[in-house]
Amino acid sequence: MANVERNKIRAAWGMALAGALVLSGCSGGNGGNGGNAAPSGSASGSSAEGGAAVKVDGPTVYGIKLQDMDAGGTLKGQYKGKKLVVATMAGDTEKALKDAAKYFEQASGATVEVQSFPAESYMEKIQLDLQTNHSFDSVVMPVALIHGYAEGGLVQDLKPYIDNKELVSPNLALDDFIPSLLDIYGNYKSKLVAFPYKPDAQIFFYRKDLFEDPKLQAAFKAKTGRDLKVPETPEEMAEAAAFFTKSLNPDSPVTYGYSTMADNTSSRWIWTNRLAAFGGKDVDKDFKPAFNNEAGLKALEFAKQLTQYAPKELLTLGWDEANTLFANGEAAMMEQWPGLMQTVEADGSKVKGKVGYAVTPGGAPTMGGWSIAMTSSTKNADLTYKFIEYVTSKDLEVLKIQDKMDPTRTSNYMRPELQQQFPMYQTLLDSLTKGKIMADPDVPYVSPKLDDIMEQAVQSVLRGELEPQKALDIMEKSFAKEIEGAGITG
Amino acid sequence: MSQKTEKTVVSLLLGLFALYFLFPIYWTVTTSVKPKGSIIKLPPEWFPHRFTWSNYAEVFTQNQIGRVFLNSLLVASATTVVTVLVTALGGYGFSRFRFRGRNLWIYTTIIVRMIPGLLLIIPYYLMFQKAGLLDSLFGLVIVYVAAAIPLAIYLFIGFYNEMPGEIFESARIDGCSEYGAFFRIALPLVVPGIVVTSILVFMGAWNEFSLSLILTFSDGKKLLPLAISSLVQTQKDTPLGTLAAAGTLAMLPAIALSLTTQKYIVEGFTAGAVKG
Repeated sequence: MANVERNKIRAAWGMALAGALVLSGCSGGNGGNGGNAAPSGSASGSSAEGGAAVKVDGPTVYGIKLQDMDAGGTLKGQYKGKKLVVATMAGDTEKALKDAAKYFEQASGATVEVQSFPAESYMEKIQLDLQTNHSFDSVVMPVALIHGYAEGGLVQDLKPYIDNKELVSPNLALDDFIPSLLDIYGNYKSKLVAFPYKPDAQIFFYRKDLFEDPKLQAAFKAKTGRDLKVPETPEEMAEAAAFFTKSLNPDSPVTYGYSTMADNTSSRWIWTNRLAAFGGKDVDKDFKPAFNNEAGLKALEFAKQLTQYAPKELLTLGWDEANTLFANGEAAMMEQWPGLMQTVEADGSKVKGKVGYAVTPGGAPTMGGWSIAMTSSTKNADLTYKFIEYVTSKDLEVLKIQDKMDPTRTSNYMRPELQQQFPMYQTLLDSLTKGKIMADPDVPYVSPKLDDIMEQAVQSVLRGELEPQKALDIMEKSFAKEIEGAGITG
Repeated sequence: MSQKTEKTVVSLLLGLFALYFLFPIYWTVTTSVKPKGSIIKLPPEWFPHRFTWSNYAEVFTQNQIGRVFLNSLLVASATTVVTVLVTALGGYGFSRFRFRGRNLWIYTTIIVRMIPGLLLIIPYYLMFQKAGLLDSLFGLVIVYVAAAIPLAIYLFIGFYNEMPGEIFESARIDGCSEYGAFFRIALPLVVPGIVVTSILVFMGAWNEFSLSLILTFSDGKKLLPLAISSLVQTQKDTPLGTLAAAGTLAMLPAIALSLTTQKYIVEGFTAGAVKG
């Protein structure tokens, strides 16, 4: 019901936005990608003017003394008197940006205002401003939205700024970003329209205490003839899930073999977590549906199979409900975003210290993620670039971990201090490296619509109302209609 | 049905209604004083076993609720004062005087209330953009007053219509001017109506979300509904204790107003247009 209401609100907002475009004469930034404000081309008035870098004392975070607080010596207080506005969703992202902004302000001399809007409505608010008011210099948003803005010319290519030797930090190290993140989050139609900011991948959580219990291992062996181990393939996952489901195995110490959140905003990920594993995709590079094939069918059939091992109320479980159920010790395995760890390790959790993690079975987890981009309408292009570079730099990434923003750079996952503090990081790095499908289809403008189409189809299959093949046919047709209707081509 | 049975049934139904409306408030208030580990539990903790003020501390230290609270108080109070000033006079005029186009003007004013607010947001946004009023509390007061005037005028017309015309005629015979009649006769009699209208306008401005979302940007201009809504997270843990603490604080003006002006509310709702 809540989702229906939300969709109604979104539809109303959509109409309102359309109205705004008409009333504002369709002023879409500078119009097309050609409207990018060019970088200054020199340091004059913007970066290195030959002055000394401003000494900013970096904090010590997780035992790491942050050193690169002046972007490799390129921030020298030269932006004094200038102001930068960054827009994002309220919450952790906002806090992380504000924390970094304090140091950036000291180093650059500029003022940074982070404007944040509620999770339920930030997309509409930010898009409205990008199209009419142009008050934002930078936006931090989910990847699919940034790519939509790139298609509409609302954000600009960062390559010219990276190529500006006098502007760029010597410590930029683009190749330090996890390659799949820089590629999937950052690149759009041969342009680098954003830097990865917050990575996300579905993780396979399992009850370590159960999988390592010798009695259960022996029982599993007796029942299946195989060793009980952390599943790596869908088949192993199904077998373990069946073993731990009480209705199928009364001796199971837990009620359910598998759980996840699968309400009508998130059930599609049960399917996409296997889609790429079986060799499929949601859309191809030309934005054509690419899932109505053997891979898509197998993944959907497998998703349906998993419901046998899951709670009856699976299709109503949202973030809080699903996490509580798992923290309450009801399920042996769960696929979820990394944030589940905070719930299971919290006081009051019945599974505290008992949960392990691995890459989702099949080895191709669904990826979420946020990136940071520069608007086409910014009047402070060099300054904005420096901020984007700064908050995604190796050292500043460590700062944002405090605000539950995991790193996007490989080198940070390799830091011993962080590995010790966050044992899940190796799994997260593996998952991010192997992820191929985004949580929201990476198709400009219509991504939320495609989410809804997938949700309806997957939910129908999981409820037993539609056969998997029929659902794929419907999904493919609806995808094609939406994408063609939006006039999007590769 | 005997009178006793009828009373019992009515009491039971009233009790159920009271429970239905009061339980969310109870849950919000108790959640606001629960430690984090006690908030989401299966089975739920119906009565808090342990109390903590940390959620309130967090709301003030990390979410700047104090400033946001003051912003809301300022905007809602200004909206109420301006609206009541304008509509107490306007309603009196519409009620007391017969002039050409009177009904047309009344209906024109009231019909604004029938336009879905969402349709007005974008025009407001574009007008404010041109006028430099985006991200200003003053701008918000303007739109809130505009939104509140139709209802308030409608209420005041009803309140003034309830007053017998004879007292105004007597006042005129005794030498009172029209302004004198308004200030000396009508205004003291319409106090319950002013209180009811003020409460409705105040609460309308206090709880408003959509316009403030679109018309304001910076932290310094945030109002309570926006700030509270900002605490809700998707696909990650929402700080439910902090959210409940902020919600409890947001309820305080409504509770304070209801308790302190109960006498006038009853009088107001049993007089004038609102009695149906």
